[in-house]
Amino acid sequence: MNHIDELTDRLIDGTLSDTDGTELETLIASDPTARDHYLALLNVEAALRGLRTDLDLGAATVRRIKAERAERTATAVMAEIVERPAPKWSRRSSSRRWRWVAITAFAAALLVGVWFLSPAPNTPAPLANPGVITKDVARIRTLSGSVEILNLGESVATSADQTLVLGQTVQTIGEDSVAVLEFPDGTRLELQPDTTVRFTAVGDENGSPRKLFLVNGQLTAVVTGGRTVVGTGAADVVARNGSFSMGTSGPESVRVEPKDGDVQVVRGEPATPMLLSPGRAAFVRDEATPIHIESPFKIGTVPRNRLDFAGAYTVAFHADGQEVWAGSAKQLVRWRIGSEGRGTTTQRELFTPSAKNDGYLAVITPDRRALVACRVDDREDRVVVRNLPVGDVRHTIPVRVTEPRFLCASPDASWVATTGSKPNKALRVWETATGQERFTRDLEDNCYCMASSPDGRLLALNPADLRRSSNNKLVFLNAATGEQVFSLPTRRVVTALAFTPDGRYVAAGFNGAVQIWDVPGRQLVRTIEGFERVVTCLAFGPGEKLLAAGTGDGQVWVWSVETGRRVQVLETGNRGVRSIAFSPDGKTIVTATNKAPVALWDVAPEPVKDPEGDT
Amino acid sequence: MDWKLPNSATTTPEADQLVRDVLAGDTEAFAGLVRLYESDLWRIASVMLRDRGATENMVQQAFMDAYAHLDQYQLGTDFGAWIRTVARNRLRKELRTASREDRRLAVYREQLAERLRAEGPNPHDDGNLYLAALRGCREDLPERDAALIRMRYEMGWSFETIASRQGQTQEAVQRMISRIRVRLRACIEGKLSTI
Repeated sequence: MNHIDELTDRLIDGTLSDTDGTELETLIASDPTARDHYLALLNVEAALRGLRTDLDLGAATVRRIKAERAERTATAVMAEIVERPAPKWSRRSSSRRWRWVAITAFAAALLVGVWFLSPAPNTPAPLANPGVITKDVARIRTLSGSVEILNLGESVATSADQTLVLGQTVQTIGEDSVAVLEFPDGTRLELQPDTTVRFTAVGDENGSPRKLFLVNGQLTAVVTGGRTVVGTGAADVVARNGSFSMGTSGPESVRVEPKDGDVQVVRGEPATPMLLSPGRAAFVRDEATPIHIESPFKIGTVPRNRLDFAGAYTVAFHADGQEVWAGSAKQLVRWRIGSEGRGTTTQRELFTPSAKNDGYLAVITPDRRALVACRVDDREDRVVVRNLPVGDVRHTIPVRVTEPRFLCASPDASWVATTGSKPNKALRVWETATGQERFTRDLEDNCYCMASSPDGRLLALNPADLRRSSNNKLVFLNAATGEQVFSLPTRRVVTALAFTPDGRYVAAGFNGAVQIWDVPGRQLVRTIEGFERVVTCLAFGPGEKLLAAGTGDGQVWVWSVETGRRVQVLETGNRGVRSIAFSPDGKTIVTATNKAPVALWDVAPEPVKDPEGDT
Repeated sequence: MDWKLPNSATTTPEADQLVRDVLAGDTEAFAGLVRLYESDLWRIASVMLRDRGATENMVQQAFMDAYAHLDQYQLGTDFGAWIRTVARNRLRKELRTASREDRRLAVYREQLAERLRAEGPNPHDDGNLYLAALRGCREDLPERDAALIRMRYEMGWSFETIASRQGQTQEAVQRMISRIRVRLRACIEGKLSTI
């Protein structure tokens, strides 16, 4: 195998180092034969990846894989169709269609003629080469949802490929709205939903940078063609490979984590740049607090043990700590890990009636006596409550599979709560013993998580008001009647919830923060910030000494509840963490992550010294 | 060994009926179309060389595009060809946004974009010849190599999983699959050059 093949192989397998990468780029650019080898090998890889549907369709295994994936795609597509506004279809007859085509062609020809005759075409200029100064500071490359450009406060027409000039403001409005802007030097800026950016400087011949200003004076980013410079902000900023993205989820904080290349963090006027290299992170809470630069910290990437069960939705430890249970709608796996946590013996219980795939929602109740899961096989599927550890059906709840979006069960599985998504957002609580509905409550907004209090009397949920963060609150309902008992003003959209076993505290996870509330006292006792990721699940350790949060990008952060200090960060992969559980002795964590093995991790001892380093 | 292009049907009555149902208000019928054409779209999306999740996401987006413009499909024609065109349009969009995402794949993606530009809306598709050649080359592989390709690409197993099942180290599995890829490349080039 020649050297270009070795380098291309590493690229394919994701093991290419930066040095190798530079060598690969040089070879491709300078040697046509190497370029051909590289392209041909990537073409083989692409075709092989297509294999999962194309070849050997006679094999039963491939049929099963294909059916599962098609089903998953069908489920996802149908869920998205339900969420979106109905398209405005028109059925044109064939003759009318051709008439329309002719009119369009005529109009296009007319426009082309006018364009040729125009002395000075007023079309947007192409992107300049690096170093060429132009008043076009950026160009919209992608937009979706509602994106508005304001010129001196007046809205102007917005389209893909449109050039943006000095003084103009770009707004993405609403939760589905995204815009990608590209600068002449190739840097890209992704505006997440509800982001507003104004262009304040276009640069000059001396290489002065172009500047962007996040409206409300919170963030300025300067694009230099090399290093990315990010200023103080109330936005999430992540710089990767010469691009950076930002969102406005955290009202008063920003975390900057360069993945490749250096980033300068500046704030205010005059700017004080602080260099940030990969491995370090900057955390800015608000304009008055100094920027906190974290020392590089070790992220745990190697679990002690793994279980090959990528479809697991929920995990729990057996009371003796020597067995892990991992479940989905399709199966329960009892994993005998032993006292050292290194065991590999498994007992896999495939449920009857059999399910084609692992479904998309499942929870093991805190008493470990029930597994509640949604099956997604056909239109007749239901939410099924199964006895653990055997897996036989205890009760069936008559909820259509497309309806539940989030699922919550009381600790003894005596009731189950489901919420749907638009347009069926209602909260429904079911009596599992009878399958009867206890109550229904209409929700104005989507709800992203729910939790039962340990005594099963309260149901906590957060109907998310995405438009006004300050409106958000954690609502506690009487689980028997549906009446609101009280609420806590979280002021953010809650994405994960966990009660302590005694019900005294509840942890609420957000995008970039976790709040711990004293439930009887109705008081916020601690806010943990500085990680700027969406929390997908939470778990308290035994004795409530530690709190673990799984994130949407596959990390698990562990903090000391008492001090709020970070104890550990685990990297489970790049997929969302679905479920976390501590072992009874608190020394081990088990994680279930989307499309990754269930993994067992050693919990690090709590550091005596602040691990977050210098400020 | 026969690895010539299969003949494609030019009409798709089963899909047409589903399209009629969807347009008449039976939204659930769209799931049937997804099941019928998911594999075609997967093949198109996989050329982006992204991970499986991203590929799956792109396939879903292509179906969403198709759903949004379903009224533009002309009944009585080839729905497969139409939806593959929709998927290619989605691929073009993805290529535009991904063009600077990974500079080490930039040259490959330029070639891909060039290929897409060269393809017309012809339903009888690009790439079939290449895939037929690949199929032939796979049939020529020794059983052990064929099994490795099945595990890696059909089952979607990680190198680690394959290594543990085969009782080998991950590095050894990675090296073997690398060598198989290179052999397949030579074989495909040989077959295509004789056409």
